[in-house]
Amino acid sequence: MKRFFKYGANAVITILLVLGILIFAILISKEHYKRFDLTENKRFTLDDKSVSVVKNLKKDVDITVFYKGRNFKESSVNLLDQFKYYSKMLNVKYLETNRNPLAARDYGLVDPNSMVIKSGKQKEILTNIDEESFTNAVLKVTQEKQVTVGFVRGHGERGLEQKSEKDYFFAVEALKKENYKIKTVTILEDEKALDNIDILIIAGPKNPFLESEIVKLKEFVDDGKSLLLLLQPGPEYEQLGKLLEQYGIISKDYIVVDELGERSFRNPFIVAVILPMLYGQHPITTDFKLMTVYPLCRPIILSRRVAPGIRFQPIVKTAGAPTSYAKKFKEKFSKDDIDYIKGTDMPGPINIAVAGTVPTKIEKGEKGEKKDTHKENARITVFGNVNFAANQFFLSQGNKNMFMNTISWLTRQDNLIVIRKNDAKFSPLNLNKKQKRIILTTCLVMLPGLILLAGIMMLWRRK
Amino acid sequence: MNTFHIMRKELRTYFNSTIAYAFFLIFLFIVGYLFTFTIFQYSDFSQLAIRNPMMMQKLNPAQSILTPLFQLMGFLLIFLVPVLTMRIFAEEKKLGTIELLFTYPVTEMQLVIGKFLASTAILFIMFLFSFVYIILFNNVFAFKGAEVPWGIIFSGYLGIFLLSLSFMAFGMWVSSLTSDQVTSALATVGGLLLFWIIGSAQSQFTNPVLVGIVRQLSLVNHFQDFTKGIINTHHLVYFICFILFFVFLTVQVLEVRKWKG
Repeated sequence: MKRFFKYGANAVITILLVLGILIFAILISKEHYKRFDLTENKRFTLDDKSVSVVKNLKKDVDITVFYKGRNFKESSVNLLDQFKYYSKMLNVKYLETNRNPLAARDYGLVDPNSMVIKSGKQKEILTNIDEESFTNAVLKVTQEKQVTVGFVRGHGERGLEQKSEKDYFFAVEALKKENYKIKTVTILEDEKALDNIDILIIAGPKNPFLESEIVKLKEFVDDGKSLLLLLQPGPEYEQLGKLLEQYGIISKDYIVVDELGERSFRNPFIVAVILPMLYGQHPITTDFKLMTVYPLCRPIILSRRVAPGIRFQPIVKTAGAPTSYAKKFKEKFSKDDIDYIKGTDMPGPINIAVAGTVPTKIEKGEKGEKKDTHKENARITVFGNVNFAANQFFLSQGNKNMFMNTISWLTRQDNLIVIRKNDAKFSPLNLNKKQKRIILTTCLVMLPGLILLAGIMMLWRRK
Repeated sequence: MNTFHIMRKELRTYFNSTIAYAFFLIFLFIVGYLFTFTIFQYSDFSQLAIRNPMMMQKLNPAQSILTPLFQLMGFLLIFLVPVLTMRIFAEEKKLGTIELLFTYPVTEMQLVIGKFLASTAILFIMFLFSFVYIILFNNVFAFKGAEVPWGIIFSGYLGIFLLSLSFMAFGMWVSSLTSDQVTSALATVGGLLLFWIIGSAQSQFTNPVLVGIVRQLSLVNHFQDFTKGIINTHHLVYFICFILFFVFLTVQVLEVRKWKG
């Protein structure tokens, strides 16, 4: 009996010791783990923008998840655990709505499954949670000031509210999601039309600008604000051209022809930028490796003679001639018209987009002395293309990333210049009768039949 | 060497009885049925999705076909693995052959590992057979020009293999506790079901420590990531610890014989 207890106690202690070591190993691995997302689209990994937003948090963000039932809580836990991996500034609390009705009422919740994201006095409530909505909500509650984007109208620019191919509805929606305030602006509407605008976008104007409008635009740039110009082949940009010339940018009325576009889209007037080396060494395109597509491009030329302090550089360009070149624009081209003519056509590489900075005007005091206004240089980006960010092409390839990164750079939010994740890829399947028969026979007849046959043979042999 | 001999003897027993064949047949037939049904359904949904962009975003072959396939395999193994493990020690105990086994120069550890490896080999062969579905899947989608989701295939198989080894380690321990095969099988199914569904009880607890324990104990919580194409080292460590613990417990149970007298 004594022997039994001695060995018994020994065994129990050994088991408890081993259990303790294994639990310790599990707990350590819970705190210090590595996660590998092997899905083709890195579907379960936070995209660079989300990581950048939470990593750069400078103040605490309190998240309260109100839940009724398991599903909402589980999906919240799954999502928030990923974010918490990157930041200690996120404080998460889970409350069952039925057990905490007062807290839910204090937040003014309507849906019992809601996530409240709070930082300082700012608050956002989410009822449908996904990575993008959460990131944007964090961005909203932590941003000091909401950036206002003004879309100029009055010269036949692209519409913002329509979902037609040429409009900018998707681009505007993407901007709103990232907490940009959107306004449409008529430059000469009143004296202060541009006062509260941080970045001005002129998307595909067809009609000429008035000289007084150009003066206003110049003042806007001199004030250190940002400008995004999206041009297209065809219109004569007389006044606008003159403004750009002051910054060393020349935009001739040519149209770019691209062999890659011809091969990929059967349209020589679509520029497809595939090689990373065709993106410039600029913050907008650092590490940018996605393909971008630009239908109908106007070449953007950088002049060597510019005023001191003005610095522009290409961010997107085409391959060299004869793969890419530009021809004088005309409304209709026949098949023979598009061949490269040396000496007549503008040879590639051709700039599709340029970005740069312009020094702000130094204000002078009453006695003529320079006044230190602490204004940063104005940022300008000019695309010789307007269609890449229009509804038809905005979600194609890396176009959305190119547009959003340009906006982030222009608004000086360099931490948001990242690659945003695309949605999971859809692969349709249309099984024909033969394929169906093969699958059905293999799975339900051949494979089980083979095993059955092997079993019968074994029994036969034993007999 | 002893371990290897025991493994060979066990494998011979499996293949000279109907157990291995019945095990393969039931598993492959049910998984095959689900695979066929899911891929046909995916094909039908694809036709609808082409006309509906909202549906299009949700249809992805890896997520719609492979993830449920691996999840079903996991659930099915709760009922199938006990068939494999019920006889490991229970039968030997009932027939009295376990005493005979210990007259050979073999340690408890060698015996347990030998038997465990033999069952592992059976599972490995079964998963090799199931790779036919992956070949069919790849042929059908490669034909449509889609990329083969090797990542999710690899992580799914790794997850299902670790899960089945965990089931087996648990089943082997239960088998070492009894001399009745039916009791062994039923107790294993019950225990595994408990480990499977315990995660769903977490919403009933408000105490974060209890929630944490329940989440950790749930095998589903650790398995699900693998089926989605995610490999998390924490889950790997959990499964390895689970397997090691029950293998160790089995050795301890067999050693009781020595001092119980």
